[in-house]
Amino acid sequence: MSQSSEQTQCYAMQLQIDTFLDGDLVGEQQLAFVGHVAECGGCAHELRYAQHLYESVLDLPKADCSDALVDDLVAISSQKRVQQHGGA
Amino acid sequence: MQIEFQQAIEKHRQRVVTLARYSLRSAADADDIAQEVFVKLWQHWPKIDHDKQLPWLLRVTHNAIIDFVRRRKTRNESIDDAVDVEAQAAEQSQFEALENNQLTASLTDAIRQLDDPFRSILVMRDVQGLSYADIEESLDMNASQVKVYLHRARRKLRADPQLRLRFEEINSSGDDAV
Repeated sequence: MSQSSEQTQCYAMQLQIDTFLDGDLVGEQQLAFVGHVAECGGCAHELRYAQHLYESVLDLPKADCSDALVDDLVAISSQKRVQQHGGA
Repeated sequence: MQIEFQQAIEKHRQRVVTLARYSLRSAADADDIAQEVFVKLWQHWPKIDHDKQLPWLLRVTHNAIIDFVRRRKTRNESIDDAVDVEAQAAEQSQFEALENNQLTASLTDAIRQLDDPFRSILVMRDVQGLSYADIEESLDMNASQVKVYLHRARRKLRADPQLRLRFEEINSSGDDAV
């Protein structure tokens, strides 16, 4: 296989990494992807990197607002309904 | 109605603030966005389809963030940056403590630098684990559009040189986290 053909194949495989990570790659496409990654060090490295980043994003902390803000909002709802202005 | 409103705040506050926090550097700005969003929820309470309360909140949050960033761009950025630095120094929340991890900090920065809707979709789906249905509803997109943006967002992250460097460092140090 020529170098440019290999590069094209690697590019095509790397475009499927996220579909693979989402579990949406099935059948022959999945077999072709897994087979290519098993043979190609560059694509295997990219898949490891993608998996690592993906898992790191899943583990990122969730943020929350301050309790003071919640108290303010509760106070607003306790008062007479605020004047309506502006839409969603 | 007041009880239901308070329950809605408790149920969704983290989702609203997380979306804002991964778009804006300052926790105070994210709190301002959350306040604006929940005040609008209260104002529009009788008109909202409460079966779709979460997508409604996400849409309002998304729009509020876009407006906020647009307004900020029209201000003097050097003053704004100085305020951000002061605000950041004052904030010692659990979120900031977790951000101290180098990879987490680089990842958070890289996410904040993504354009919309890449950033919002990545935060909603991968950080918060929201359903495609909620994301589609909130951004008025179909499932394939959301997936295309999500995959592009992930590819943009992977192309970030700082993140790649961190990964290579972790890999070469023998930390078998992959």
